[in-house]
Amino acid sequence: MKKTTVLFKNQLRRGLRGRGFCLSLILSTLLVAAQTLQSYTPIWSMDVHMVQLYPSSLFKRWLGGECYSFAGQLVYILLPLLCALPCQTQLFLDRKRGYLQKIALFCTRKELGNGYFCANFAASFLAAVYPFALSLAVCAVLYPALPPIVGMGFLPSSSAALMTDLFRTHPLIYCLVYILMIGTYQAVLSCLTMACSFRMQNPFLVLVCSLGGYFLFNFAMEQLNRPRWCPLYFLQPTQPDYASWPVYWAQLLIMLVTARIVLKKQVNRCEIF
Amino acid sequence: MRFFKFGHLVRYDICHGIFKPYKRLIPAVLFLLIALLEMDITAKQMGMVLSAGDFAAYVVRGVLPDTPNGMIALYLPLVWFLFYLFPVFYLGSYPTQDLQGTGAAVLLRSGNRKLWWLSKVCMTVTGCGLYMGILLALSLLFGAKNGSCSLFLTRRCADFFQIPAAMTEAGTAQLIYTFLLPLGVLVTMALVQLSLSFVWRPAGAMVIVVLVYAASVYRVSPWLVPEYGMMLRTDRVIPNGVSPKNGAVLMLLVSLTAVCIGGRMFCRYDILNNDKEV
Repeated sequence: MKKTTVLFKNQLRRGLRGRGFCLSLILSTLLVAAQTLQSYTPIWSMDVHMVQLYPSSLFKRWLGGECYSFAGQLVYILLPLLCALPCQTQLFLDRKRGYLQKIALFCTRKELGNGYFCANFAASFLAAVYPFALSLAVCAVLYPALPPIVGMGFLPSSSAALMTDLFRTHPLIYCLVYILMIGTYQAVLSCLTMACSFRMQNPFLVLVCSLGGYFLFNFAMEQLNRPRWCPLYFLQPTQPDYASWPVYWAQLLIMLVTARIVLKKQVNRCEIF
Repeated sequence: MRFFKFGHLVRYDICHGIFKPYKRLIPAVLFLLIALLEMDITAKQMGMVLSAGDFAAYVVRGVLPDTPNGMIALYLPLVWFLFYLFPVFYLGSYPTQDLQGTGAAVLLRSGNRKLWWLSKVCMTVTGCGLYMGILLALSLLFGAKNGSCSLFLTRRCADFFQIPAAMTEAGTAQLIYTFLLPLGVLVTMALVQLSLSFVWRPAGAMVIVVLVYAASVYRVSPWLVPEYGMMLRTDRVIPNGVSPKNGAVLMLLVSLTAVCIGGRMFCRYDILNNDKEV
């Protein structure tokens, strides 16, 4: 257990100091800046009629509270890639470069797998949470935190949506819970793709695996006429299609269990030496 | 002599960049099969018989311009988006990846960076052509199943896709919108990605290409190349839509610029640096 912790800390430090995490942060910051600018400038803001009805509010203008700006929508499209950049290719590259052999001298394969898994989870979680937390902080400076009124352009306005009561009574907690939901989902997705791509020969494919898988899953759910199962929709705090806890937890648990099983098998089968 | 050398290079690249990683095409074929099958089932439920052209149009039709506002979220046409993204995954990393392996030795043996670069360009164009060929073959397969191998849109299906009569009455010009423009978009974006992969590595190039595709969904602009690959954004479908003539000129210019600038960048590329993996 102690060795896993040491390995986790070491890998996380490598991930957070790497170029991938830096690139992810820069991209996220640019997207947040663009979204804030578009949302803040009255000419660019397209929901003028809503502004007349109700003044701008933090919960309507932050990255998760609006669904009309290009940068705001681009975050949801690029999120799997932003999470994959910090740590996802680390296990693959370490195996290729021989670094894994050196680590494997000091710990068991189980500890090795756990260390990489936890480090990837933590780094991806931070990468996913960063743009939303940054946007919430920036918008908190720019806009008043007016409580939402149903029917005034605030979403979710229907009782069929997830945590509607929480949104009406404690909107800030709703936003924070949603940020945690997004971070956890994307981190587990990143861990799953890291495990599945362990034996791939091409690091580029390891990186794009989560983005491709994410869109393919959304496409499959749309084809099955299950838009509420699409993470592209239910992971948005505005809930274009209402989210539900069973769908969220079911997807999360299936991905987590699959990732653990696949990683265990891959690490055990892999010829490190 | 130089021509034969170039021929060998192209053959090597097509073999190793397109046919050897054929497994990467399996998800693309599966995706197209599922999309076309779903369309076929929906059409049968509505009492429509789709032709091969209808199936191809379903994939490349895209989405009508719809400015999102406070109440309407941006809709991402996943079939269109995934169709254009697959070549990004399929062809995107081969040139830089090849340089990490035997490609470097081939480059040294050929003794000419420009020839090596041009063979990669040929490989990219061939890969896009093959991918478009897969769409054509699957559309013909589904069309043949329905007893209509025609590559033209049927009137009823065009109504269902919100395509006006002007398109179905265009005759053979329909093929430009259904097959040629999408092929042009695929080739142009693949060449842009190829050039950028030597400047900002494959991952950076992919981010930029995905960004351009997403921007095309968001707004109608004649300066965005993927716009021409969306049937519902063309001038025959919407007023102030994009014109195929302008599209052909733009795609040609962008492709030539990408090939020239990419070639110049590649001439200065450090092929011995093994850190440039992702």
